[in-house]
This record gives sequence, structure tokens and C-alpha cells, in this order.
Amino acid sequence: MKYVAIDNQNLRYTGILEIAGVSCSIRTNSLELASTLCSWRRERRKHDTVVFSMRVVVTQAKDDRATPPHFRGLGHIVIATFGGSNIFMFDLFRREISATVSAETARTAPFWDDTLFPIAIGVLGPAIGILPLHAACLEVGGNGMLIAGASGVGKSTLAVALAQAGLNYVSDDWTYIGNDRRGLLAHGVGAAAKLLPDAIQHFPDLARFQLSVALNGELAYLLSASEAFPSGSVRSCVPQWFVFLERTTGSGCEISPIPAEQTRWYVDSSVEPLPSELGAAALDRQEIIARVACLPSWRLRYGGTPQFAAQELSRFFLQMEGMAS
Amino acid sequence: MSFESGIPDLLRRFVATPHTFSTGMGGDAIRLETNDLIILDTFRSQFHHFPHSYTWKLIRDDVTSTDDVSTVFVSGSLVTVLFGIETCVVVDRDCRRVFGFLASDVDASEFLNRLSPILAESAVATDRSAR
Repeated sequence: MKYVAIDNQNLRYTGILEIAGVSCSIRTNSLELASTLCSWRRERRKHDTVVFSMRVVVTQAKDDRATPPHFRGLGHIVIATFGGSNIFMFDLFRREISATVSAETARTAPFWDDTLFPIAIGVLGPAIGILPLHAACLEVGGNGMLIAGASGVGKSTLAVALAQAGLNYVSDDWTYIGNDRRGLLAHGVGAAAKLLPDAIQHFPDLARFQLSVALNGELAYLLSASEAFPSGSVRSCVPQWFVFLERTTGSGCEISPIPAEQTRWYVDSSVEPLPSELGAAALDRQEIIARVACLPSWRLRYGGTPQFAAQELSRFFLQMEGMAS
Repeated sequence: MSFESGIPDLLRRFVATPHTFSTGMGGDAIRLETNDLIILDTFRSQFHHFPHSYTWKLIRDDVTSTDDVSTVFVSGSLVTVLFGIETCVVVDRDCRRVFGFLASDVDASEFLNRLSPILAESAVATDRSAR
């Protein structure tokens, strides 16, 4: 039997990370892990408010590589295992993540950047005032555009086409919406953009990337923001518009306003239900959903290439922005 | 595996647990909720071995074990017991709750002789340390 116990006295490396706009205190026994996470670190501030904490024990016994995740949850606890040596326990009441990982996982930055942190914010979201929204996000002129739609409708390809057309890339699949007295803020967590193999017909440059297995087991091109959009990615923005994406078989592009109730229905029906123990978190989440539903919203229906849709959408919002200013 | 709204219940949080067993009152109370009659019967026959004033929720999962390694992971008042990765049960000693999932191939004997003693010891250890 393997026995691992977390003891703060042995977790001598500490720091503050900033993920999706929230502060996370981390403690670990591994200098190597502390080094792996350095791109997420920020300086301590005088009146720091730590929103959640993470304690990670790195074991030396076996250098197991992380495998696709196995998730289960009951009440306020969610367990995620990535093979037998990488175990994460999320406690939504205490806003804590306790974990034990192999040395191999500790030194694998893409595991933390592309897998663990998006999962952590997704799982803890309701408890830390963040709404994980199944939507891409782009930024132009300081304004954020959320692009939602059913799985497989082409959010990622449109997001990449918009980034290539000059908008700043925030996220292509999941956007994390925070809410404070200043309003909504949309965050990406730097996860790689995921394009399915057939996207190469629209983006021939994908040939220089390798196909990889994504978190959901799909074979895909995983493009890191820094690599794919070197001059145009940001971590967060103020969301101003909500776009619901639909595809048509014909050609052409139609952008039409949709009522707030429809936006609300979409967001309401796409979030994960919460158990009764998390009633207070569910109420906070409803408040964010209500504010998202108040964003000016449009339906984009298009047939043709993502570049064509990106061009039409950019033009539309530049006009909107011009009218607003 | 989906919730009634049509949203997938990926964490299996909302599996119905129609089979219940409860005994005792106040500080002696033990309660179990499960979706599986084997778990219910095994628990009922051996409940006197389990720590009192705990609420249990055990879900029979539809996945089978891929590994036999057992792991006990302790963090504060939480103890997680895993057999492979498919059987995972958490003891929350502050909330006095035990909840988790048993792989489809964990039979009554394994539940009783292998898993339950670790869970009972995890809970009792706190009762001892709290004294």
C-alpha cells in the first residue's frame, strides 16, 4: 500500500500564483515544481487576498507520466487522477487542492499549463466566484467578444481565424468569467488552442505542428498561444459582446441580435449542475450568469471558410465600436 | 451518463442512491445511501464495525479496476483511499462523512476485508487524536 500524507512542515517551497485572475497560494516539497510553475507566479502584496490554496507533495518513488484524467465527485469533493501516481483532491468548501504527483509530472510544464490549471479553475470555479463558460474569447480595442456555440460548431477555428485577422486571442474553448464591483472580466488560462486534423484545409500552416492527443482523447493540433499568436494574445479582457455561433450549409454570413433571455438560457443550460451542499456557490454563479446575459448578444450564422466569417465579424464589431465611441 | 437536464454528469455526482440503511440515534447514528444492493447488504451485516455518527454515500460505478495498487492519501481532515484509480473513497473527518465510488468488480469480500478496514481506521484515528 502506498501512503502519502501532506504535512505543511515538509512543504518548504511556497509562493503565490495568479490563475484566471485569482490568487492561489502554493506549498510544495519540490523546488523543481516551484520552478515549473514560475510563469504563473506573482509577487506577494501587502494585503494579499488568497482565493484558494494548493498543496502538492512530489514523490520520488516512481516517475509516472500523467495519463488522461479520471474524474469523480460527490458533495464538496472532486477527485481527479492522472494515473496512479498523480492524484488531485479538490475541496470546494475549504477552497483547497491537495495533490501528490510524480517527479516526472512535476517537471512537465504543459501538464500544469494546458491540463491541470484549466481543470482546477473549472472545478473550483463556483466556489471561488468564477464562471467557467464554454466559449472562445477574443479581444479588440480593449473589448472582449465571447463566442459560444455547440461542441463541434467551429469556435476554435473561428477564434484562430479572428486572431490571424488581428484580434487578440484570449481562449478558444473555455473562458473563465470573474465578477466584482467593477464588472465582468473574462480570463483565459493560457491553454493551447485545439484544432481538429481537418482544420488543416483552412490553415495550411498547421503542417508545421505535430498532432497530439488532447485532454478529451481527440487527436488534434494543440497550438500554444505564444507560439501560434506571438504578437496577439492577452490573458484577460472586459467582455462586451456575446456571439452565438451557428453553421449553415450554404454560403454567406448573417449577424442578427438575440434577446438576453436566449443568452441566459444558453449559459444556464451549459453549466454543470451543482449539488445542494454548494447552494451558496450556485447563487453567486447565477449572479455572474445574469450579468453575462445582459451583454449585447448576436447570432452569427455562416457558411464558408472561417477566414470569411472572421472578416465579416471583425468588420461588424469595428462598426459597432465606432458607433459606440 | 447524463443528468436529467441533458447536461452530462461527468463527475457522477447525481447518481440516484435509492437504497438506504440507518441505525442508532444522535452520536451513535450511522447512515448509508447507495445505488447497489450488495454494498447495502454487506454494510448492514457489518455496521457495528464502522465508526459511529458517520454518514456514508457509496456509489457502485460502471467502470472496472485497471490496477490493484492501493493508495492512502491524507490531507488535513480528508483521507482518500484508492484501489487503482477507479475505486476512490474519501473520509471527511470534520464533516463526518464517507463518500466515494466502488469499481464494478469490487465484490462484497473485497469491500468488507480490504476497503472497509482502511476507511474505519481512517475515521477512528481522528476520533482518537481528537481526544
